[in-house]
Amino acid sequence: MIDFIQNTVDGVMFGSSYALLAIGFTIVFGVMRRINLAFGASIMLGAYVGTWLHVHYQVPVLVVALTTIAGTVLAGIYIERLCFHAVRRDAALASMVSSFVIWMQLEEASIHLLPERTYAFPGLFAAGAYELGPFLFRAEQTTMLVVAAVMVGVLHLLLHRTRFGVALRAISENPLAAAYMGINAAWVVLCAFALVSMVGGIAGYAILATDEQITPFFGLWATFKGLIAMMLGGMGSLPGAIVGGLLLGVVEANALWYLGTEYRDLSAFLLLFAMLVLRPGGLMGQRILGREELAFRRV
Amino acid sequence: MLDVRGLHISYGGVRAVQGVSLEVSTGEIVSIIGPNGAGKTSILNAIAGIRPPDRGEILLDGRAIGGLPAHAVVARGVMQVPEGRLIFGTLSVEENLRVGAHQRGGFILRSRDRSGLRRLFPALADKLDRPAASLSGGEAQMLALARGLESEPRLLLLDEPSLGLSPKLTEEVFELIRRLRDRGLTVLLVEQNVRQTLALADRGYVLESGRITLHGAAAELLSDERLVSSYLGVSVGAPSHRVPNR
Repeated sequence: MIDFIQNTVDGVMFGSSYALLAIGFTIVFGVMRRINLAFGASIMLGAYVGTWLHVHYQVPVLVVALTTIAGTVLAGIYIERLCFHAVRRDAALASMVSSFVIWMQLEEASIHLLPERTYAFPGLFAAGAYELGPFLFRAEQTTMLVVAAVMVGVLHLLLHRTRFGVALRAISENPLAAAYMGINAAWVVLCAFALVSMVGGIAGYAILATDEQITPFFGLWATFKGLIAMMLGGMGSLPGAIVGGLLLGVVEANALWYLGTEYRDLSAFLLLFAMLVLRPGGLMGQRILGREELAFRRV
Repeated sequence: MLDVRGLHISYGGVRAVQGVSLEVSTGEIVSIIGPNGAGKTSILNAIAGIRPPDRGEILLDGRAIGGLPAHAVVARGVMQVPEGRLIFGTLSVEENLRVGAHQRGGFILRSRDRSGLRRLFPALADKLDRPAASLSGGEAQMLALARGLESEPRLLLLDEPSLGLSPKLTEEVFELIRRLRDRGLTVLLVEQNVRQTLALADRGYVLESGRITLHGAAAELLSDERLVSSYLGVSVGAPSHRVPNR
């Protein structure tokens, strides 16, 4: 029992990083009804630029963190211009394929920047652990959980208490009605991409600092985890992304403990498969389905 | 205030609007009446910048606005209340009003004095925190109007505000439009509900198959033999069972 609780605590902690990745997918999907496959690769490019500065110029760790975030935002804007803004609104498949192409391109660029396969990634805080009763907490994972909680809070305020957030939610419900209201959707969507890229960059930095290393597989990994967490929670749902991320983390942590390392990712895929069969809309999907119908009725 | 000259609009080869010209002066209620599919909505959408016209000029206070994107047209003081209301059902009533006021105010939303809203829309003022999807048809139309007014427009484009409303609610909406005009708002009103519309409007244009077939003072149009026999007779009393277009 104590093992299970310990696993669950660990799972919630690294699940919080999955939740942040899932938020990146879910906000883009909510507004555009499209999936940005290059999201993980954009985070990787940002992190590679940060690592490159660290390896060649020994910049301070804080600069690595800020470069990772800034690089991800720039890559996110690049993706938005090429795969989403330039592609017609009704050509969802075209923008998904083009985001796949950009994924490959960003991955190439990262590998050219740092041609060896694995690099050490510097953390802002020293790794450590503390005990609370029978349980062990890793300091860097606790930091990740706190960062995730703060960012979810900030995002909630942004979406509900600012002009930008309300406009974004209006566009995601009904783009035509939002146009009538004088919302410049192209600009709001670009800002939304920059915002989720910032969230992704922060999440990416926190994850890599916990792993203490970066490999060219990080883009694929981040896209997979984010997508699975989003699908579990329900596409386009912000609470769904959080719940999906935490659930994925908890299931993986227990699979890792009880079954072994090789079952960690397998359990994630199994969980996704079961969800798609039993509840295709995801945990919070029911409401999204209703909203979709609502939107169609009103257009 | 608004001057439309020789407007042509077509959709995939089908000519929806063919050479329409019309004028709206400051402080007027001008109506475009005509059957379904005559091209009324296309004209409003062209003015509002939702869909640019193929040919023709749209002047606002003498400046060309034809072909400008919708957000630029709203910035010049023109707001359309679209057909079928298109309120945001997942947003609260208050948030819907905020979307209407999108081009005004700062980045952070501050609480706003709603006493003005309470005077014009008492039913809405008590439901600000409710999701807009929970409103009745009449309340939803009131919200669409209130939301449009939040942009503080000089020219309000109204597309079938009586659509799907009972005769009593229609009368309420029209009374509201009259009060708005009395407060200095200029209105271009598109309707199928001919008799009530002409009773409200100062001037009217009759649109059939994309062409203006008749125009003049609303009172004259109401007494026009041709209009009454060919068109008005069919439409009277009909609107109560109509549902929004899908």
